[in-house]
Amino acid sequence: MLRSALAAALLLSSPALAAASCGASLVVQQDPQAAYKKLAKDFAKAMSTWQEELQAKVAAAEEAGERVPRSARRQPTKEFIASAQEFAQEYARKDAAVPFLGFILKNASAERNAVKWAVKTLASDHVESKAIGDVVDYLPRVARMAGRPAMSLMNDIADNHDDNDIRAKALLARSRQLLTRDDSEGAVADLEKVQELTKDADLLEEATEALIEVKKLAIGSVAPEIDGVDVEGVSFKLSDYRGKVVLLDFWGFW
Amino acid sequence: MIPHERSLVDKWKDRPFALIGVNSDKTNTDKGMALYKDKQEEMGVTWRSFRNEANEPTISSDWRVRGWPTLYYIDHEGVIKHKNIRGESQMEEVLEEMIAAAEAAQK
Repeated sequence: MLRSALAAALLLSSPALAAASCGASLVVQQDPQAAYKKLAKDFAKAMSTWQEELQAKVAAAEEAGERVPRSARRQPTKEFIASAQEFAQEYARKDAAVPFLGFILKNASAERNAVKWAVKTLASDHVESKAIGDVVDYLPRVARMAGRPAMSLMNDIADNHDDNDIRAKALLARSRQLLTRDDSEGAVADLEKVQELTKDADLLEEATEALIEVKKLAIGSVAPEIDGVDVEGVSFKLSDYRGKVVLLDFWGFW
Repeated sequence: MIPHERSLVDKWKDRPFALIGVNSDKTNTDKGMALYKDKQEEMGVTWRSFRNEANEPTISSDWRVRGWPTLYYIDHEGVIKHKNIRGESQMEEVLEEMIAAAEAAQK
């Protein structure tokens, strides 16, 4: 019920999507992997064209002493996100939908409704699928657009997924998220859990390296050496001050 | 911030304490260096700072600093004891305790 209401709302809000869904039979004939590759390729091309054009416009505007119109800065994501939504709907409840949902999470710049829909769809249709392991990395980055549902989906995968490697991927994603909030204890707990759960060499290596990195700056660790110069150009080291209490202050006047 | 820090440097000048900055003004440019020198005079910055930009990678990226100011409290043995305590009275409290420990270790 909620699903169809949401889909209807999206159709209403996007004429392009509404028009395209009439021709849905065309979409369904494509091989999902090929369709995804094409979408990603076309998107990359559109982005690089946009970037080149923007640079040219910025240069021209600077020359003329004018401002760059805001519209020129808008990334050309809208039609690609709409297209990814169509594909995700075509392959609804199948693993083939997951890459398209991931595409939305990864690339949406202003399409908040699409992101919310993608998170909701992943949570309702794909949370137990193995395919979801490929998109967990994108969940933290949509936390601001999609809010709590994105975080609870990530937590659900990290804590409950049947496949330990997929749990490990979600735990790694969550640990990075925790570090941005200065929660090194939480990050360490997640990373140690990864070491317990998985035998995958890449995931283990990532967890081990992250742990070394976190512990380097954790309370109780010996501070990393700083070997630098002061504003007069005189070299000195942090360890020159052993024997004294040091309040190390990262600061600036700006 | 700066006046309080200056008062700490004054207060503990005869005790085992040092305030060390890592300054992120763009002192690798003439403009940034001029800003620093002017402001240093004006604001009464009496302590030494590393030039963040003079290191490659920068010190702040090595220390994964995400917000400014970021504070690390390092004891006399070089061990990180606290991070980012910013309230003035709490700062003084923990530093006092750490300085006392440093003095006890000297004896």
